[in-house]
Amino acid sequence: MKENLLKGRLFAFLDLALLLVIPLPMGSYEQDILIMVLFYAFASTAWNIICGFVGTLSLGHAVYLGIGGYISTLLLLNLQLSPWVGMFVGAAITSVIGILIGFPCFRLKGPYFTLASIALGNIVLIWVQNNEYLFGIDIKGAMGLLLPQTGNQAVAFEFAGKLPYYYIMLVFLLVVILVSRLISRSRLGYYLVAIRSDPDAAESLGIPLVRYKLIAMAISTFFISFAGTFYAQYYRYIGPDRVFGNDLSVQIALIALIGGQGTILGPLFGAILLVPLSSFLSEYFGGTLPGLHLFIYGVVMMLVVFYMPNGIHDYVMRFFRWAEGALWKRLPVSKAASGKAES
Amino acid sequence: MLQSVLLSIPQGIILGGAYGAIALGLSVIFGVTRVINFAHGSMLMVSTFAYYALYQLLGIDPYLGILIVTPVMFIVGYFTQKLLIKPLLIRERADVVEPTSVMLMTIGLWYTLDNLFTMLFGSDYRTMPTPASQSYLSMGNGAFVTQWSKVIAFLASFAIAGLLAFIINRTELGKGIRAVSQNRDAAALCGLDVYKTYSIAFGLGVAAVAVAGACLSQFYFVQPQTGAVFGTKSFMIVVLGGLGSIPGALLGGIIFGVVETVGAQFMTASSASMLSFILFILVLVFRPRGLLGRN
Amino acid sequence: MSAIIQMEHITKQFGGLKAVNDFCGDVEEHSIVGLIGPNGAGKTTLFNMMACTFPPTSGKVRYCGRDITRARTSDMAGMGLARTFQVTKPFGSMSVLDNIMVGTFLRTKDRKAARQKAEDIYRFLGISCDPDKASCNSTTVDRKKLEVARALATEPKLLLLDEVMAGCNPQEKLELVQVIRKIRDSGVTIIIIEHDIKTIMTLCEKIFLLHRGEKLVEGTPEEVANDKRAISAYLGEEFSNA
Repeated sequence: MKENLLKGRLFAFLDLALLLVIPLPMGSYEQDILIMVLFYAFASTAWNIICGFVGTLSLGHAVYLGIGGYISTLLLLNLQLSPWVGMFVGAAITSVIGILIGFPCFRLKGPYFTLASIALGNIVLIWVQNNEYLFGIDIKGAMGLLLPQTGNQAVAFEFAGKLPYYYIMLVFLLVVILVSRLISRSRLGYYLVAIRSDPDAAESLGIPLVRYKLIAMAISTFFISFAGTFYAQYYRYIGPDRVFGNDLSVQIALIALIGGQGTILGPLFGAILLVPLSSFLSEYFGGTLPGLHLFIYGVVMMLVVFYMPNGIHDYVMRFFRWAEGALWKRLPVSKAASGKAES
Repeated sequence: MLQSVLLSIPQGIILGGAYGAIALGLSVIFGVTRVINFAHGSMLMVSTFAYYALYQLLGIDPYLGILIVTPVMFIVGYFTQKLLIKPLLIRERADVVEPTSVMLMTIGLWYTLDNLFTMLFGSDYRTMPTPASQSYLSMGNGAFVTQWSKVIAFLASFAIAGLLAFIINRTELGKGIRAVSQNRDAAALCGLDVYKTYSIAFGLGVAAVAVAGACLSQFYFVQPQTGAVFGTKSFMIVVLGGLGSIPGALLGGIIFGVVETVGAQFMTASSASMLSFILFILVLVFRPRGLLGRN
Repeated sequence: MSAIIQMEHITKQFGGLKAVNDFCGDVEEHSIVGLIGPNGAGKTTLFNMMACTFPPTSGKVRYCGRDITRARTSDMAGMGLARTFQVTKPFGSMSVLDNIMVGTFLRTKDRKAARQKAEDIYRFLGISCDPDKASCNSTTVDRKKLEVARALATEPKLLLLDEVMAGCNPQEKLELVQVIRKIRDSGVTIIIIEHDIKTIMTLCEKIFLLHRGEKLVEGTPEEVANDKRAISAYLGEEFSNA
């Protein structure tokens, strides 16, 4: 038993060390891909909190990402408020919006909820594309907002190189994964899975369905809005076409689904699989074959639904267990550990 | 101003008829199989490319092309259900988990088809200068002008609706379809091959959208992304009209067409497209079973 | 001893069909009461109204003196009213123990405490299948026990059991009878719907016989077994003088 505990801790530490070290020897292009992997993993993990655990399929979640990004950016441009603070303001507001939207929508059954999420996403997209002002604030419509490039200003969440962005995103990701894990082990997590499995039985056990879905929604939208702020700070630009677009919503959902809906590390695995793949393909074929990366997403989606309906999560975990076991035997540490266990 | 608003109403009705024609197929598919086919728009798009190819390469007018494309699309729909969806339905019957995998499969199919065609044909907008699209119907001394292709699409929607209604209500096959859509298990107990009925319903739905595609390709662009627009719109129309209701799909289509066209008189066309989505949300919140839907 | 639940002139109409017609009845605390009748008599509908799954068309339901006629379904467990379902509804993706934990989480937020209580209930009911395996693979009697365990986990004062013995063989039924008695002895009132008349007669102190939505007979097992209307409508001769 002690050996297993030690083994688990050691490999967790090694995995973390790997994540910390991996961007260092890489060039700018590769670092960008790594950042995007973390970005999508983060967004998808946040998506998973409401959609994976509860099973409601939202294909319009990018809206919350966009709103968060717009709020922090507008606060930065108009009030010179540091995005570090603006990020939390955005998250709070987005969270409230999520609850307000969730309240009528959670009454809707499965596919209707999905369709409603698509419709809402489109409403926001089209509205922002066609309107210059919101409550008198200039949001520049379809042109989007440009963030000033002033060089390295950590306080303003702006960095010259890519590395700081990587580590910031890594921290974000670790936090959301931790939150995800805490939820899954808490009453909230159990209740969410119960609601997904059998809402009638859940109600009979005293679970108020809408309230818990709203709690999950609030948490999910709170975190995903941070991704919006990050996006704006990293690209120094935020515009409706991308952040409110259908494609982003679907990508976030697909990554979580392919990775493993309702699991904690599934979205991360999904992002690691799909983001580099689609980035490379876009890079090399993007000119001659537009839409290739989305095509790949679609094909992978169909394959996964067919052959691995629970996503790649279980296969990846099995592989890791095997790899860890094989490595463990070769380490001198293990002999000491099993020696200790015996005596 | 008032005149242009009033004139936009018949324009909207005609456009709405075309929308309805596209949505009819989805109504049949969903009404029978309860499958949300997110790839519906993609099927439409594929059919428009087929008509385009026939016209460009062989000079076949799309309306004639219907005779070729529709049976092919029927087979495509039939086998899509049989090969891609049926295995999932069978698997889900045994599981305790929610039946979302079919929905996800059709989403994957949607993305695959749309982007496959984008890769192969690019995002260019293609049009077909056919007789129907080049000639105009003019009424009221030029006050009301519209392409004949749109008018034909409007009329075609009724034709398709009528044909589907005939098949479903007056044929032996249709009886099976109705039985399965009302009670799948009871129908199976009566000896009906439920999955085969599903496949046929799917085939019918896709064939219907292929006919609509012939009409659409003559007043709209042939372009890979058109699928998504009409696919999403079809869902909204079907929900508004009432799932599984054929007249509902027509009515829903017309309502959407009118809302969009009249709305475009007051705001930009792209803003007007937002109205359809708002209407849809309102329907979901206040009357989810739609106008003519049964339970 | 006071009545824990009182049904006053309960009627439920679905369109043109009167599923339950003017039902009146009280259940005393700490008793085991049976609800019998042919299929379609309205038994589960009555349960659904007691558990506030849907409200009656007319009439009142009183629980511990409070009017709960229009209460929310999810509030009932907190008030101490729990129920099982005719067709078991386990949370398929969770383990047996996790299933019970969903129930115990009602009374405690702490995971360790919830788990401990769940383990206690698991043992109390004598569930034999592996607590950490997925719940959908267990035997019939274990699935039934799990259903009961989950409801019991909410620490109810009143437990509604809907055909909990359906599909069980005589040995398993005996097991469940012991379990039900144990639950009652721990202070829970039980109302049970069952088709096995012999079991009901031995288990219950009072029986309601429902026929076509109406209360045909109410009384002790002896009274019901010898009631002429009961015999002709449902029971047959063999149970008289039981």
